[in-house]
Amino acid sequence: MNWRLLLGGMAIWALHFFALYGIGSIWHSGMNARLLTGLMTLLCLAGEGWLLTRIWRQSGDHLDAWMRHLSLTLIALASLAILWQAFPALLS
Amino acid sequence: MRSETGFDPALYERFPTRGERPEGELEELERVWRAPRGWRLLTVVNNNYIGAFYVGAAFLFFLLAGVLALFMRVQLAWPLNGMLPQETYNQFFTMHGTVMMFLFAVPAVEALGVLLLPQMLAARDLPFPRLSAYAFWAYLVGGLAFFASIFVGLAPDGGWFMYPPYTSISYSPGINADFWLLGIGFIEISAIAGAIEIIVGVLRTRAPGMSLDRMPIFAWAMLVFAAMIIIGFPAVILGTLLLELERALNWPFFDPTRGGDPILWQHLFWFFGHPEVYIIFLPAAGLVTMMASTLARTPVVGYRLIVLALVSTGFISFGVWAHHMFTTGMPTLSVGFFSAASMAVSVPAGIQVFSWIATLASGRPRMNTPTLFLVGGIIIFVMGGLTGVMVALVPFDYQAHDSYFIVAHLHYVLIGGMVFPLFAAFYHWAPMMSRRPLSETMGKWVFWLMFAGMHLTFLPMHLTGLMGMPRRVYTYLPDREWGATNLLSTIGAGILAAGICLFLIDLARNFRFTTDDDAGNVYGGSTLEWLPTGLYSSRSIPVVRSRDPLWDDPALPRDVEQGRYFLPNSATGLRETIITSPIRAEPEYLQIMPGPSSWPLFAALFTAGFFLLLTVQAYWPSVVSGIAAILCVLRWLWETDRPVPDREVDIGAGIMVPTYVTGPRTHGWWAMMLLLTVIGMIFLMACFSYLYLYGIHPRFWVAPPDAAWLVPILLGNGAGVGLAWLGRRLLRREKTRLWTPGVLLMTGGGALVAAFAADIWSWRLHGLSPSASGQGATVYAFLSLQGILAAIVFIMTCYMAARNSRGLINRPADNSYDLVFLFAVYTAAQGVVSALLTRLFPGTAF
Repeated sequence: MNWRLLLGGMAIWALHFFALYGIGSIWHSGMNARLLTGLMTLLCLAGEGWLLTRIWRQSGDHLDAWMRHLSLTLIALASLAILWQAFPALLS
Repeated sequence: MRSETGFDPALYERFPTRGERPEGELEELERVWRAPRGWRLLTVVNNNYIGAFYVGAAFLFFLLAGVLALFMRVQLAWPLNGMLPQETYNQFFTMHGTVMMFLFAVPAVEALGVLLLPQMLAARDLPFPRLSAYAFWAYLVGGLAFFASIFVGLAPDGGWFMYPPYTSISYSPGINADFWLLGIGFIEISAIAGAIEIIVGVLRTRAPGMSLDRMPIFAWAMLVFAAMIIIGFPAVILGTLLLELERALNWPFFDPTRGGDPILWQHLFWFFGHPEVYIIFLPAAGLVTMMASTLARTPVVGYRLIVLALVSTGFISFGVWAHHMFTTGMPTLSVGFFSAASMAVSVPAGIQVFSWIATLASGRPRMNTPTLFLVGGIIIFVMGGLTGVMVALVPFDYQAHDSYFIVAHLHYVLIGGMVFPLFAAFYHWAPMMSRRPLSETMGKWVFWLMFAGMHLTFLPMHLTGLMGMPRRVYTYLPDREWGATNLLSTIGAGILAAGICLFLIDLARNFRFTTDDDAGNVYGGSTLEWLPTGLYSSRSIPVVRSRDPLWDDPALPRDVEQGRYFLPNSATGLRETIITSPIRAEPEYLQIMPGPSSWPLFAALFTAGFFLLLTVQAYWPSVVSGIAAILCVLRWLWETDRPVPDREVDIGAGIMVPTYVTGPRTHGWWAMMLLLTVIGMIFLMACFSYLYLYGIHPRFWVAPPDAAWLVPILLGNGAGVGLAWLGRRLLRREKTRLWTPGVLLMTGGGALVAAFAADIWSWRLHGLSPSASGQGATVYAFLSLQGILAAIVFIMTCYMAARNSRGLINRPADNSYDLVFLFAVYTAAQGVVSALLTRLFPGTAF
């Protein structure tokens, strides 16, 4: 386990958030903005999934196990936040 | 068990060692770490002293800002009160907010980090003690001078977030706003220096065996706190720089009539400003977690979930800045995104609150003073958090915006989230540095007065706000019916102040500062700061085998005190600490630490002089003071990074580690990378400003200079990096005489300056004036940033050439050389990116 895997889940959330900020600022509230938001959300959720599969396969001693659990929980929280973040564009 | 560095974890089994330690070892340790006496105490750099000074100074600013609040409350107690004239009132509320946020809240938690972290991690000191001393003195001198502006009627009066155009030169022509912009910009330097110190300290100076899953929660919290400062503070540094440039030189960053935009300030300010709330809250949350565990006498419930909450808050809090700007007319979708993030950030905060409740519920908490402050703080914070979710809802925020409802909300969050935990921490950790603990009886009075006073002050304010009273008005008419709730708030403020006065009496009666004769572990804490300590921290540095080492190994304090663990002596006869690996805390090398010095103090005084003289427009004295500050810093550095006679030393039980290491694993390299991240964030924010202004007002933009100018700029920057790299390579050759590494580095610095000169010359020839438009202003802001970096590189390279000429460069590799090399590479990269951005985007396509 390393820092990149530990912080990867939240880093993808950050990427998603700032992309959404950019989309909202450039395309305002039109259909293009909503489509791009949906696309970005799918990409980032896929990124979280990819990270999850990488971490799932990790093994090691007690510290590795602790970091693995922490990383997986961060991915779960980040995925939820990514989905939640997209709701204003996808549901309204 | 796996290893991170090649260190064999089985070696930990050698500890605690057996047999007697040699005579005179402890006396030698005491001699090496002895603090200067009398007036020379001003040159002290040890964290026990600097941390205590820091906490004391932060508390002084808390009291000063509190007195301003009392004046404001008396003024608002009834309608049309005439105690404070409008202009004075404006200065008071601006100073109250500014001092509380910038001079109390952030420095107070940073101070606790300086004070507690080395002991918690069982390090001898933080890794850059002179930097700590510099940061403290800069903060104290700068802060006092800033506060003194109120006595001559020159205090800033634009509110603690200083929105232009109100604070632009047209509407605030005096130097009041300049005091804020330069004063706060300067104090931020101190905060960033502290943050770098804390990150490197937490990740590299932990006791052996203290892997990430055994770190005290406060260390986790301080790690996230410091990382957030590194990312968040550059935005406000750039913002203050831009606004000052607009005021002093008429560069229109925020003037919409010339292609600027006042909303840009709000983006820059709040990108710092909202994370700032969490920057204040997270360390306090770390303290609460540790105290809840100690006071309930049970391990923390949900340690991993709390780490999860800290880390995720560190990220999500950067996605909420624009919820302060819902009413500025942002696109509806963007408003929705920020509203969603504002609600999401309450999830990790909720995790922490539930963990505290579970910890207290699963243990046997004693209702002593720290517990009362803890529970009281949680109640207040939850109430503030709930109103926070209310204002995250856009329609409600439209109603409550800029009303007293917001004032009530933010005070509930900050007092519950930071002030009450801080008072709990005062009572809890006072026995660690005082001969006597604080009084339990008085402490309970203090708590109940503060708790009752706080609610009486701020609970009615919600109603005052919902009844329509805007914040920042100096008085109101009788027919608005705000008198009753305002009077209640004023009475509450008096009760709150009475509680704090009683605390001062308690301090005066019972607090007796000491570094080696403290009252000890009164509350039965489980972590390493409760080991017997002196100025050298603990006598020996223990192997950490669990999260609660003092509970799990009752013999630990005795063994540590008898020198049966790591570094029971001074291995080199100098101040030193063990540098460990960032994840598993395996011993890597011995860091030689600098001792007391007057140069950080002088450097801080002259840096403060530079900014203050600039504020009062005494330009030449300011330049002289700035040069003096640079010379003092160079003089302080001159004594460091010297060769050590013993290349390897025994740090206990026959374990040998090197005394001089270079490259990416060194603490100096880490600090430089963090500094470059700060500078990189300032640059990133400048890029954002450039693109933002183009997006808002493209009609003001003109074509850039010919792209052919890129050739000398790219060549100059490339040559600078190439020469520095070659010099670094030549360090390995013992017999190099001509074109020594120092000369090559200096020539490289010259090439970077030449590249900058080519860049600025191209724009001068092009004719775009910085005062002409937002484009001109941001282009020249890029050039200013680059010019500062190029000048710093040149000074650093000259300094290295001087060290080279005196034979002070270590071969085959030298840490100082490496760090200057890194800085030069970054400077070249930034020069190239800014030259490309300003020429190729938008280019001629507008």
